[in-house]
Amino acid sequence: MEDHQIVELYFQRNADAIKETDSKYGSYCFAIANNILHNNEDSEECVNDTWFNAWNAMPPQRPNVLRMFLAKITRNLSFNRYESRKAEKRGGGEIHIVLDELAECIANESDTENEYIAKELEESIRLFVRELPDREGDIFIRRYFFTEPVSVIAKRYSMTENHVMVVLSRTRKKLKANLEKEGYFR
Amino acid sequence: MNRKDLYQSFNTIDDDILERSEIRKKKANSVWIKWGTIAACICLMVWGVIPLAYNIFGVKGGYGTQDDFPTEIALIYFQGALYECCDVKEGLERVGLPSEITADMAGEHVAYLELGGVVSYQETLQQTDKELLQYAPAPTRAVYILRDGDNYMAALFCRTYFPDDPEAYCDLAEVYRFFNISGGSDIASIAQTDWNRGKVAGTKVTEPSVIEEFYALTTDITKFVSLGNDEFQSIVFDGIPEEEQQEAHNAFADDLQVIRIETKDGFYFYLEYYPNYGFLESGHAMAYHTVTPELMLWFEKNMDIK
Repeated sequence: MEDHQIVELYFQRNADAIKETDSKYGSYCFAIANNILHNNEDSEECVNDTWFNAWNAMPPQRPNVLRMFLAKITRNLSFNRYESRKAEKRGGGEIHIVLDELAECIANESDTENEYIAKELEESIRLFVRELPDREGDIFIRRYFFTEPVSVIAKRYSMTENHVMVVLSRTRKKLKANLEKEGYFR
Repeated sequence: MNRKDLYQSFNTIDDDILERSEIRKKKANSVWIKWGTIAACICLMVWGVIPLAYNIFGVKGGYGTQDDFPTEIALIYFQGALYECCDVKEGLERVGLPSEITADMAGEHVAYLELGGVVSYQETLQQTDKELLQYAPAPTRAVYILRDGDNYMAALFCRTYFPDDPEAYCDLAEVYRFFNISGGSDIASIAQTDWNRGKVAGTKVTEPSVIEEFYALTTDITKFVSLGNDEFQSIVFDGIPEEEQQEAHNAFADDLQVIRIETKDGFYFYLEYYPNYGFLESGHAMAYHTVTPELMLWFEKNMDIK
């Protein structure tokens, strides 16, 4: 079924919407969740929660790209679950390494002013990624949005892992410089 | 701001950019496409890579000072092999090197290099300020030190490469030779790692007699046959309907078990084992090796991989 037809089912409040979404994007969303959680049971629950959230969001929202709409929900839910599971000291796969790598982009980690800068930071990241050269941006997204292992990214783009790591390292430095320039570390 | 804020802020990336990262999947099914078709890409690489070399090695003021950071990787063609330059901590550690390359690690002079040739650097008889040096702690053909002016980085063996036959592959024994392995006693351990090649995630074999058996099984060219990518693709994926190809490739990828070989010198290199398909893949060799029943049994018995 085409995406627009699935979205229409949501708008008709037809329960088949979830069945069709699960059939088309179940394994896709599971992969996103499992990259973060590294736990089949938790990942499956996050995927089910994704359908529930999508059901609540549509309508009124009408996503342009259904797959990415679902990907974002799954990513959010999975990260929240990772946070709660971390408190219970279980779960978490690739996300540990990804978060450590992102820490390199920050001068001094702090929990202050989160509310204040969250929206601005989101916009900065959005523009930063948009302005990256295509391949650099793609690799950066696969790592820090989709939380994919370096080896998987290397396979995806027919690159060596060393090359992927070099690209990621340099793009992180570039992001750090960009965040510094925008005054996030004052 | 903390790392979690940063991670979460990626959620507002535009959908079209996220989509693009999915669409730009490789068209063929091997990680080697870039290398396999390197001859066709040489002209692209020359313009793509040489500027990086300049950026990295300070001709325009030094790496880290540029507005546009380089993302290409510098390549060296030297004596039938391609080497990738590496100055990234994760990349260095993954092959068993220290996280930073410094001048004191440079050993004997191996060759002078010049910018240009089929990739970024090539050997020259003229004395230049760019040279390939041995890695002093453990000289090998698999790891060199590249000095460009005052900058030092690692040159890591990528694959054997012959300009006349860019798609030529080799046996695993040839890869062993690059890493100074001429017998089982030159291998310190064989371990299963996670997908990132970061951590040992399964059994680590260190028993010399067991390692010797592995070496013998993977160097017996009468049984342990090497195939190029085309032959491999043909055997595994030909005959599968187009609509089922993606699923077939996903299933193949899911079967992957990463095997890390640790040399007695402390270097790591990796093989990819697909137990349900009976193939052992080596990126360095550009080959898929057919796994014999004896080798399959070895993995099952010693590493519990079935």
